[in-house]
Amino acid sequence: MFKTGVIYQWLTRGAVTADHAEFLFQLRKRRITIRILQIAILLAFIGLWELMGQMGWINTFLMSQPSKILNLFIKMCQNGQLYHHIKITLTENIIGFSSGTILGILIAILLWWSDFLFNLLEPYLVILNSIPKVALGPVMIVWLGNDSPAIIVMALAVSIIVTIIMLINGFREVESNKIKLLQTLGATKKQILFKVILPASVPTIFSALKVSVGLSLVGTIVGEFLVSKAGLGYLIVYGGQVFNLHLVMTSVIILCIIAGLMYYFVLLLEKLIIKWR
Amino acid sequence: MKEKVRLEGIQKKYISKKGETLALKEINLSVKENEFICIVGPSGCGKTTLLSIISGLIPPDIGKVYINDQEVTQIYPRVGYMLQEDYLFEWRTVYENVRLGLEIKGMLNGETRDKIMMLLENYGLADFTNHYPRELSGGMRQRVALARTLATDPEILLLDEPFSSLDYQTKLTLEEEMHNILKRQQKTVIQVTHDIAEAISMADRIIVLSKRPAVIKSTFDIDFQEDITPLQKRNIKKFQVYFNDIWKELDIHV
Repeated sequence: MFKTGVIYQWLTRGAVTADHAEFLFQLRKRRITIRILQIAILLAFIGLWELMGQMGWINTFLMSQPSKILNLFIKMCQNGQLYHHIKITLTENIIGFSSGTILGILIAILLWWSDFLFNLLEPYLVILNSIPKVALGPVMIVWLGNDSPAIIVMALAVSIIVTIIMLINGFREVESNKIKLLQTLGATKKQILFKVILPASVPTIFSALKVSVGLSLVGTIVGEFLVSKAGLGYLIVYGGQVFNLHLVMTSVIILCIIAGLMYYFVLLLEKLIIKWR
Repeated sequence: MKEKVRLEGIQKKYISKKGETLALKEINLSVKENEFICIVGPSGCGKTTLLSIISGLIPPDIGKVYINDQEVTQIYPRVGYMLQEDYLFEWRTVYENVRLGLEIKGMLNGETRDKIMMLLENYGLADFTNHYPRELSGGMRQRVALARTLATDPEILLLDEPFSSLDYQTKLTLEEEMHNILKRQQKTVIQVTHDIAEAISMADRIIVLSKRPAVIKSTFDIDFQEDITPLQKRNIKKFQVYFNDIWKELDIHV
């Protein structure tokens, strides 16, 4: 139906032949349809929620309501409260996540460097990986006090183990003949690390980042559940305790957005760094 | 002519949990300067092991390797080793891949950089300097690998079935190119292959290894008199004679 006109022209831009144009048209049409439907699902969900609240089909005291969430959001933006809590959660999370990643990479390098150490510590790593790290929360509070440091360590603890395990496996799977190639050139172990192991593992590092960026947020929020006086986790717990479900929902939605943005940031970084794919 | 490489009574066994395997029983060999040697033998006879020992990558259990009359105890710096596949680093461009050896040896300077560009030019890769390996064909990738090996200007080349992963036409073309390049540059070459025809068309001398544990079974001097290319050699009657002789020596039962 839009075989002519501006829309078809735009959808087939860059086409070299008529068949190529048709191919591009189908490809782009599909992509745009999916994007439109994705937005439509979200809008329908919000609209239905709002409608059910307006008509009194649901108890908005228990289920909250988009318009009330929006009002609260605007109010909290104006009085600076929201900024304060987001800043605290973000700071704790970014510190925990980046120190977990950096430490994780360093430990993985150490385990790659010494096979003996790897074999020695492997069972402990496996156990540490399978226990829920948030179970250590109370211990962290006792050791580090009832404040941010305990939360940061929780975020770190949740992300570091998975980083170590994914990276050491990645390091050990680098093609042995690539290492042999460097050895025939007379490379030292340090050169092998920097010229092959690390560059070959950049995709693995990003896979680990994508996993740990979400996990460290779990650590941060659970940490805030347990101890804090501020932050989005605190708002959620507090809102629940005083039956202010609008506050809970607002915080959860902001959390969704933060998680999404952080994941997207990692994706963007990956695209910038891995040019050879 | 001067002797370049000498192997004296090389023995090597592999020990694993299951026990031990004697790979090389006793290898004695002398390679002259600028000579092109091909080592053929049944698969699994220890050809690759022998190359690794010559390069100094792994030590022999018994026996000694001499290069330029000096005993090899670690990686010998003036040896270039080409593995069965190109093993180009996919995160590096063509230029950066060729540069690898010079980087490792700390020999990267204006002069060697110019030399890399010249190598790339000579191998028809000048337009692909900044391309990544995934954008290249199999033949081009192997040419990049050759450029990487020659960039450090080795005296001795160890080639481990360098054409085995290529299709037939590309293989013949690259044999031709490689022959020209190496003849012109006066290199000593030890190549391992299971391809008898390739060995006859490239080598000055062919060493036939026995099944494991390997010893040198026989040696063939390949003499085509005139200075002709590998492809032309394949059309000469003598080629078939050599082929049949070596085939019999290899004693392959399928």
